[in-house]
Amino acid sequence: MEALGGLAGGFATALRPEYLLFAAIGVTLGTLVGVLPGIGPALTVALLLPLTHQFDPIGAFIMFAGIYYGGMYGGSTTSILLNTPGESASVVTTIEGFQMAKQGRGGAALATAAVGSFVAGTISTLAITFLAPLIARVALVFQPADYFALMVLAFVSVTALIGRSLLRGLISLFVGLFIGLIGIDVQTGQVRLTFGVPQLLNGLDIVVVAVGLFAVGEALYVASRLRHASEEIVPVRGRLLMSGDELRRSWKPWLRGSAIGFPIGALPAGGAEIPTFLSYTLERRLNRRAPWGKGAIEGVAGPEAANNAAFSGVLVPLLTLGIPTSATAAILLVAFQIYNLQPGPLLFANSPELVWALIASLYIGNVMLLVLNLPLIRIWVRILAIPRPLLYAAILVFATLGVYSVANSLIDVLVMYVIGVVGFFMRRYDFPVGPMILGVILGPLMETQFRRALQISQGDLSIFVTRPISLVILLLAAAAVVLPYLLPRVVAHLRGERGGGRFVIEAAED
Amino acid sequence: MEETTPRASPARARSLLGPRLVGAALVVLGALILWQALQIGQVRGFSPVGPSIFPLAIGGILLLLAAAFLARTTILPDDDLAARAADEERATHWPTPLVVAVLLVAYAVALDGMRLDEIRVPGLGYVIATALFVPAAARVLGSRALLRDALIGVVLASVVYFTFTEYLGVNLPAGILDLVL
Repeated sequence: MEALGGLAGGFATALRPEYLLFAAIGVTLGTLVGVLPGIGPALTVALLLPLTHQFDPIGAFIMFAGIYYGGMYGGSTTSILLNTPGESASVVTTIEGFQMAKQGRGGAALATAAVGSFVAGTISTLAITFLAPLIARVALVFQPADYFALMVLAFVSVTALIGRSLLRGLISLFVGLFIGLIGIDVQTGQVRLTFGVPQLLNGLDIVVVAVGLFAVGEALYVASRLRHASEEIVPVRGRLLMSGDELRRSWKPWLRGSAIGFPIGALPAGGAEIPTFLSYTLERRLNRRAPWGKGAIEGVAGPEAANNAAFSGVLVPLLTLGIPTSATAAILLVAFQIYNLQPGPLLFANSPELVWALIASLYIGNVMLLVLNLPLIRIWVRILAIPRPLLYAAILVFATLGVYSVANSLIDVLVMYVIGVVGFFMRRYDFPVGPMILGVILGPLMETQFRRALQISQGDLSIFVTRPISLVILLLAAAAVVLPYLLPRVVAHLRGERGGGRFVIEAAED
Repeated sequence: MEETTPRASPARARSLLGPRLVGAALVVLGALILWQALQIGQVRGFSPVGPSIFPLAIGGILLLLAAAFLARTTILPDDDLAARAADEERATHWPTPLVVAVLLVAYAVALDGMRLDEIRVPGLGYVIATALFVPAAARVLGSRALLRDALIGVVLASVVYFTFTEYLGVNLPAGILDLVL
């Protein structure tokens, strides 16, 4: 049982006081940014990347993992009390969660979300513990052609399955691929796509792109609508506990949500959004007597567990194959690269201490988050009351600080603002941001694998379809594009933004 | 959403103006990428794949996608997008994001200083620039508590400056405060 041995070693490392402190900072920051509308774990990790030069890698990754998990816990608070999902994966939670809050059952909704996240997080971390080393061993036989196919699958699933329009998703992806290629080509030394600007020779730093899109784009978007939007925070009244009945109604959805979420997240099939919709629909089918649309606790418990499990599942392809399938995972991949670590099958062999400490910290982080979110929830709720103008002014200050501290250059900050304007228009016309981030980060890796594959095959393109592994993966990618068109009803479940709940309800009633 | 405009009505044509401009910009971007990709030197290195294959493919595909997007805003209008664009147009108060953008550029320049004809003009430095930016941005974003915002600006600026330069080893410009301290 190499997994148990590794895990024991991981706990020995992660339980050291300094790493516990990193974990505590991570989960607190993560919950904070999860609660605050408009900023999420991807932006937070991107902003912290420049600072990580000061830390040792284990501490940094424990902190990042805490931010990653904390962001999920915090997101449910905003969905339930504010009716504004922080991210697409918590859209479903708003449907029943906000209704519960309005009826004064916000405490129970928050409790089932927090405990559900804990249950799902723990089950998924167990699954990671035993599954990841296995997959890493299998992945040792993967060749460049297979990695190329895997990246195609990651692109396709993130683009085709998330967002409302495949076309806009693809445009976002290809603009990202373009940004990723800017600068000097490592293999041939040729200058590419710099438009003659010398500052672009080293390419665009991912921090500049991510902070511009997420922070400045979001702030400009909110600025454009501030006079229009009105929001209502529902105060949490009453106990922060579930009644016996609510607990009885919650535990099965927690387990089912975990069972749906983890595999979908672990396949390089894109994100936590789909499992939440699937879980919601499943719970509706199974609990016909629950007060759907009027605050059914099953509709909070299931999707929140699914959301959390899927987020954890995403760590499997990231750690074992080096393939990120969400924007946050893509930023985490960059963090690995900063430390000259290559996530993939060899990570478990080359850096066992780091990997196992990271996995152990997921268990620890989950416990910390449960403590942070159940008794202390009222403190987090108060954060929702920060005046929006001040909040966004501060976000802009931190965005500028993050980029300025990477480069110490005015040019980079101005480029980041320009990308922010692009992000504003993307937000405005509903272009998804995830594919772009993934394109920037995975594009250059994909080109490298493509070149290696053709080097091995001596220029023969058929290598991608004659190798069984890459053929199967490419067929899966094709299925991810075609299936949504063949199954319009599935699309009705999956597509649909904030109003998405409407689609789910209609689909479930026919 | 409740506004179900009849086909090809002038209202919808207006609401698709924004997406059309975006589509046109994307077509230009695709063409620019193709043009840049053609300038890349043809060095092969060890791989049969030269440095210009990916840029050419990406530029070409983006051009096709942009053309398709443009078609969805003109010949084959995407009703969903039109409804969203109309909704956005109603909700948008253009001056606010514009002023925020101008403030941001002013903030960055005040922070770092600038170069005028080879002469380096020093900036105000991190603390002063940030302490001014926070209340100004909050004001533009709708805050009316100027005193509170100014206070928070000063505190935020000082705490960040102190923490980052003393503990995190990040170099932030002291600016004109350097003369005082």
